[in-house]
Amino acid sequence: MVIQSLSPSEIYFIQQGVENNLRNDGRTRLDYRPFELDIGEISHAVGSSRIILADTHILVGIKADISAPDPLTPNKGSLTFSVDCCPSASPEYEGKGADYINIELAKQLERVMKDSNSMDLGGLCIMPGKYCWNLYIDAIVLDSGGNLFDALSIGVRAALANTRLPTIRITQGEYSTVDFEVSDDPEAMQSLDIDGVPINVTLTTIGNQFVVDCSGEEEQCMDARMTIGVNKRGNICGIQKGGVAGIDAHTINQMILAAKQVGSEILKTMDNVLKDHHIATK
Amino acid sequence: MKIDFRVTNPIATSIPLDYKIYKQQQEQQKQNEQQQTISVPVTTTSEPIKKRTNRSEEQFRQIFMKTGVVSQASGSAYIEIENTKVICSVHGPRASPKTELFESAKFSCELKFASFARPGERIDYMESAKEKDLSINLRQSIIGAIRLEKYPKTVIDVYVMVLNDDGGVLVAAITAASMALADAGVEMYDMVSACSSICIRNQSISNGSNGSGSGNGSSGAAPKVQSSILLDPTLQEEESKDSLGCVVVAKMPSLNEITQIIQTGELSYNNTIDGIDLCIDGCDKIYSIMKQNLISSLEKQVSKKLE
Amino acid sequence: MTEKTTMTTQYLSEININIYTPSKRLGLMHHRSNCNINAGTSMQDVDVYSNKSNAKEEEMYDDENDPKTQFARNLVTPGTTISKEGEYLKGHGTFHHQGSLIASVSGVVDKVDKLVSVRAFHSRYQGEIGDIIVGRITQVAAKRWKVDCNARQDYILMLTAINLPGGIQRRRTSSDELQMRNFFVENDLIYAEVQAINGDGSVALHTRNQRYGKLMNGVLVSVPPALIKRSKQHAHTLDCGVDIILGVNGYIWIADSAQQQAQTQLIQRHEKDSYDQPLFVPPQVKQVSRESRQKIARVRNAIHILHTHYMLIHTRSIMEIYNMTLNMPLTDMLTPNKARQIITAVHTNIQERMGFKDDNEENDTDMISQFNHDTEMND
Repeated sequence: MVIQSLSPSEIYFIQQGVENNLRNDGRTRLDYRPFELDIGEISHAVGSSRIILADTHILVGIKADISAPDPLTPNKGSLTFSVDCCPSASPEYEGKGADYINIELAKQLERVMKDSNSMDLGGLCIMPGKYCWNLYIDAIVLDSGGNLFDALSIGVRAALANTRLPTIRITQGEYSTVDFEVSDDPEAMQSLDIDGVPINVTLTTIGNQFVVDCSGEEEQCMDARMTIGVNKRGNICGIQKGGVAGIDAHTINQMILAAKQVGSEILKTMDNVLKDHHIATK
Repeated sequence: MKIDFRVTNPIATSIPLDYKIYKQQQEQQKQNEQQQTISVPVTTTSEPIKKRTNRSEEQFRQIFMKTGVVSQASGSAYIEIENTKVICSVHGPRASPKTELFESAKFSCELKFASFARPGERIDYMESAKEKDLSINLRQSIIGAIRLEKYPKTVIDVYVMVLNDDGGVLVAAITAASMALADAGVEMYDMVSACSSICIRNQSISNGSNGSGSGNGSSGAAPKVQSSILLDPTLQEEESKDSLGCVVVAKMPSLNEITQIIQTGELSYNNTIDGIDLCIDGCDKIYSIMKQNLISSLEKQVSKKLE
Repeated sequence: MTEKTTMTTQYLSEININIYTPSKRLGLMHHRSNCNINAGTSMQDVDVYSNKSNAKEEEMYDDENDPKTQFARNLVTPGTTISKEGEYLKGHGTFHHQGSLIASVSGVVDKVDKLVSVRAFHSRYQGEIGDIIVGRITQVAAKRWKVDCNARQDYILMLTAINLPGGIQRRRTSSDELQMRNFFVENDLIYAEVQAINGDGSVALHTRNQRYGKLMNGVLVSVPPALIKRSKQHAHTLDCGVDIILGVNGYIWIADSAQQQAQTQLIQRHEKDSYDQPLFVPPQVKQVSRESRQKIARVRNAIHILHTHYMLIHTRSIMEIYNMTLNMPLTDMLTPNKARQIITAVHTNIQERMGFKDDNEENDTDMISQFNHDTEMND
């Protein structure tokens, strides 16, 4: 759906609504829209998920291969993120138009999931210093209805929960070489521990207040945006501010606190549902 | 769901599984390592943090600033934060080749590392994702301060070149860009100053000799980590394995508005807030240094004209 | 220093997780309701996996109830032969090929006397003279405004086609042209009527009526144009005190009745007394109370539910959902499960009323016959 620019009186209406804690669709400032997750739809990927958050529609696929680990972190595997906004999401994403936003989204994912060291990458190591798993996480934004940062992180987390890597058997060959064998058995697969994987919570300031999970039209009236990564332990895993306007320090404190609370709620609900459906083994 | 892993998902490996080739590679690696002990240390990531000798945990490094260094640019600034050296030039506001009607100026930022700027390998001239990310962050930090609506149908370009990277690159870039814009005479609401801080894990946990450690680590099931916050980290401190996370804050001090905030790493809520507060104070101090430098360079220009 | 605000609202009502299994493939179209029973002349659910025969059953049922109209409702796809050449006059959506008349779009076949045309479900809105539309100004050009109306091209609103303030009738001068921005600026919403369709296909709008003009202080919702049927009246005041304008082009405007009335009075007073000064609406008039906002949000969610389940949008269906959800919190209406329950309830209500139709043929209060009545008037 194409998001149009809004007239000044519509912007004023939305701002007044946010002041009164009653947004256009009846949500309060801290309410999240309901979303759907489809898991495991892509058979050729080791893990995949699809998230539909109102009009936002994102597909995440994970592929894996084996290579030598980074010499600086011999015990850990590696993650590589890439995001591609399709022209189907908006005509301005055609050609080079989406370059800027692709990098911003991928970098924020990388910052929150990889740079924070919150996720346990030791589980991706096969043999320290010699072999490790590399995961390539690719996300496609098929339709945009606001709040891409959050939807991407939730989608990636669900795809990681769905990831099944074949078990590796390490054998001792002749001349004291160490070799590995990839198991062919489709039943014997290992899954990843997603306990430490954080998600993004985006807060946007509209007028004097801030809201969680803004829709497409609310994004048109936003002054500034803060994307905050939160993990299950309640720690902050990455903050990035966007938007043109400035924010004062007191509001920033409140926003980080709100993000922490909303983030832990979402993580709790998500993990319960994943467990019920036996997707996460923990 | 059953997946026939063999057919549809071949595992690609980049290690040859032939014994002889593997043995050759091993020998080559050993030779390379022996040669490398002569060259400069490649990276600082695996080393623990060296304790600060010449300054306290909440003190900046020495800063040197100068404006008007590039003659061809509308405005320019050069900043040295001890070993970090950054030069910034501003071109504009100038007419754009496109005849589109913009109601306000089009603002773009480009940050580049010189090939020799970082320790280790030479940096390729192709723009890496890291440079693009820093450019985006830089743009977002300053765009809120410029009165773009005063310059319709024009383009303002900011080019930042990092000559030597010893930590605090984004901080230096934001400060240099603000000074250069002021030097160019572009109308702004206020200058933007930036500051960064990191949260480190203290080595001596048991004896309680943590110096001016502030704030404990995460709550809940995780074991408590003694941590402290350092202001204005060097490259070695930023990239060491003891660093838990880093916070960069850019602020417009007169208006008391924060234009950019970036946090990486996993920090507890308290550490995050403490880091942000420390950075905000730091921004105010850097702002006063910026003002002094600008006024003294203006005085020099005025005295030159009078001659 | 950080005060903990008590957050009494729930953050998330529900997450739906669907696991992919081959048997669930059909269920992937989970947003559309499975029951295709829509009343009267409404559109059928164009579910790819649904059978055409299902649709045909509905049509025959409808035919029995509409003896007056000569509509034979057939669903066709591009390439389907409709009839032999020469039998009928070829209308929109058809073409001649090798001696037969073939459909070129997928939709419903309309046969009126000797004219055959195919009306597509998902086509872009095409304006007709007299259509009431809600549009958004995209450009201020020389002596005209370009308006986006969800159509193939931007429609044109000429400077000569608007009402000057104060109701003065005079020639537009060059100073009027320079002050065009005082009337409408980019991104403004306007309420207008289609005046004429020019020879080159461009469409001209006009706002030459007291009630047309700029729309302020409300919410715009965009739906496919096929869901809004042309009727006698497009601007309604719902019983709950909410003004809605159902633009035929698919743009729906929702606002608070009381606030709009106060606003109109202010604008009229302004035009009478001080029309040469720019209009300033004070915040008291712009203010919409919290209760009114809740009503507006409920109407908006109701329209959204109708939109996702592809049901006709008109005052009765909106009010049906509104009354049904009065006791439900607003956020519940957003969850897909609750939305599905609401739609099934609406369908059962319609079915009940259809069952009673034979007894009360004179009674025009039920939905279906009213539909037929309305569409007859306009076709």
